[in-house]
Amino acid sequence: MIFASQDLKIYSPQDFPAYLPKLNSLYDDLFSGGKGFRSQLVKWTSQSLSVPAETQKLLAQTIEFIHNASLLHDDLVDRSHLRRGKPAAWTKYTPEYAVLAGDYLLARVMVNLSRFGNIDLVQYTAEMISDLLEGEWLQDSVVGDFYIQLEQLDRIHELKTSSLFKWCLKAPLVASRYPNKTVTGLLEEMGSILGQLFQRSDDLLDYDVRNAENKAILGDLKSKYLNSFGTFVCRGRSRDEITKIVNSQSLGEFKLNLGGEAVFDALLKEFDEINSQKIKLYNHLLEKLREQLQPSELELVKFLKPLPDLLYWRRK
Amino acid sequence: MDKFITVKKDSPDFQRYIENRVSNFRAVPVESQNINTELEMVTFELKEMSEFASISLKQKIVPLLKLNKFLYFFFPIFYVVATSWLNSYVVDEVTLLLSWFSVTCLFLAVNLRADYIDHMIGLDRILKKTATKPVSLGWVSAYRVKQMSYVFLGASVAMGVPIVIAFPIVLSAMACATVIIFWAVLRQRHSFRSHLLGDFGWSLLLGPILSVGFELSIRGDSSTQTFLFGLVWGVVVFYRIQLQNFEVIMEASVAKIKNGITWLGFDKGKDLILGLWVACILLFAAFHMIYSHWLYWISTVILCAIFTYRSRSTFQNLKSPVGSEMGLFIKDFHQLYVLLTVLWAVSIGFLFLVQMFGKVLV
Repeated sequence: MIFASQDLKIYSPQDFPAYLPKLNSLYDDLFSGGKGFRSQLVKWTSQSLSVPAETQKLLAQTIEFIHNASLLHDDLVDRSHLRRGKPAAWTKYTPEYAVLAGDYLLARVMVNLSRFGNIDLVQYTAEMISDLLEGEWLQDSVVGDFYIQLEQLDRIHELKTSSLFKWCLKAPLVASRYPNKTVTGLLEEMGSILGQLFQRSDDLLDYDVRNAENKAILGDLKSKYLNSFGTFVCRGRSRDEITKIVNSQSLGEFKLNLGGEAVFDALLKEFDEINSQKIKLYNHLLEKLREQLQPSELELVKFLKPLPDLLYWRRK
Repeated sequence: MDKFITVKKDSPDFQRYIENRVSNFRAVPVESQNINTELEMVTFELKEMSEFASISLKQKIVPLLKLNKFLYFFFPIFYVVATSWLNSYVVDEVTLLLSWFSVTCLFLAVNLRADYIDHMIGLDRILKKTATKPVSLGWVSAYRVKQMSYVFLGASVAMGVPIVIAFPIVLSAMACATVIIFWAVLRQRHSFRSHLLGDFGWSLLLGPILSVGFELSIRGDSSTQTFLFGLVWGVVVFYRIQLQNFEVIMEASVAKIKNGITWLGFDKGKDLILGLWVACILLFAAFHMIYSHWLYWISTVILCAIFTYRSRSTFQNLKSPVGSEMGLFIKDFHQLYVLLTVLWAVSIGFLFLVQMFGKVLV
């Protein structure tokens, strides 16, 4: 299953006021190049549950607007100069425009959703945005903390990353007032696991593990942020050892400070094993979901089944 | 056997799994939805008993006995017994032993019951950091914990009856304790997310009620000194409880749990901890001004001030409710609580010395 092709039109310049200087060119840059994975999640879930096409579009647009607003703000907060291989909006335009463009996207989301008229959806989306921001805020509060524990990071990721994945799977049900609350609960749990798997896999890219995207190596560490895999390999080590590890200038040095390539590989295997347990739990929930769905909705199971492979193991 | 099972609250199996009344394996909650509502749905990981073979009896029992909280109730008892001896009050040894065992059993019963309730309502799945691991991780079944709480309660009552016959006035302290236990502490079951009164209840219970009640139970009377000690100790216990609440402020806030700390928030909550600690020192000083030698109270207050000053860096460095600084902050401020208790214990030793060599010192 490949999600690279984006067949949902998420962004149209007509949606935004043309008289505002640079706004549309900023959005043109922002919305081009993304994989649109979250909107695809929304689309597939919606289609399986026969959600009307107009609603699908609204939901897909909502999640992409929120995700991209968070990227605009994130890049400025992290002082990241590149986004998807291009200059980040705050460097190409101005920090002020980047903040305002992000705010404008979030405002647009609320306008579109309130026009749709489902108050539960508005509330759920606003809660998700709150979670996202709480996660971002907390993440910023631990920058430079190299002694943080994995469980503590997980809580941040649950707010920052999983909340979006949960929304992608649950929002179509909320929008269509789906009656079976068990299905809603199961999808929410599965979304949470997918978010965690995605985050952990994304963190592994930093150490050049399954890094087909050629993401910058040790980028997080250089931004003084110890990600989930970094936290995992540092657990149980003394402060001096951790300081030495996090000050590594290259991946080779990082592995050397850990104890060598073999130690790195063993830790990676252990990390993968922990996440495989999460995948097993996901598969169990998927089976429970299958029992709850109507025969006409079983397409959803087919769509959800390969997601851990795609998100964690990065198998296309 | 499937590794996982998902059970809804309205399922007849729910109680069996959550209480771990299952044979040959243990059900450990790994994912929960809509905790403590009618829509609650829990996914359990089913673990073979052999997976717990490496867990020692000590690992299972020690957290259940709440040794970390033992000081809460042990110290007031120690204080009452020591001051009774210092003041030459007549105390019967058998009565003392019966009272001591009765209070200890009651403390264990209430704590085990609270662990059981926390597990049943899902609080230990939200506040994992402060959860009692043997129950939340399935090392000991919740059902067994409930049974143990009944056994300790029964033992407490059995040993308490002769005391009540000897000193009926003890009933007044028992009545206060019962009201607080049922109204403030165990009401969690019904007001899952409101802990404001529960914390206050614990402080009253472990402060003035325990001190005065225990003194009544061993000699049928109580002094103003014991009552004042109980009040000060109650504030110290309140400080320690707030410190624990502060440790899980993020988890509690996300789960919309109401307590003093979540109401104040991170920054003001941090200030509250410092404020409560300063209040503890001031009350400690005021108490010892009245009941200790001036040399002692001045030197201990100076010592407390020095240790507090030493902790200023952990206070200033704490910038996030998650992260490693929180652990250091909690450790430091917990040590201050232990320090205060040790100093108090030393003060009693000091009084012994004063009594023995008083004429020389005064």
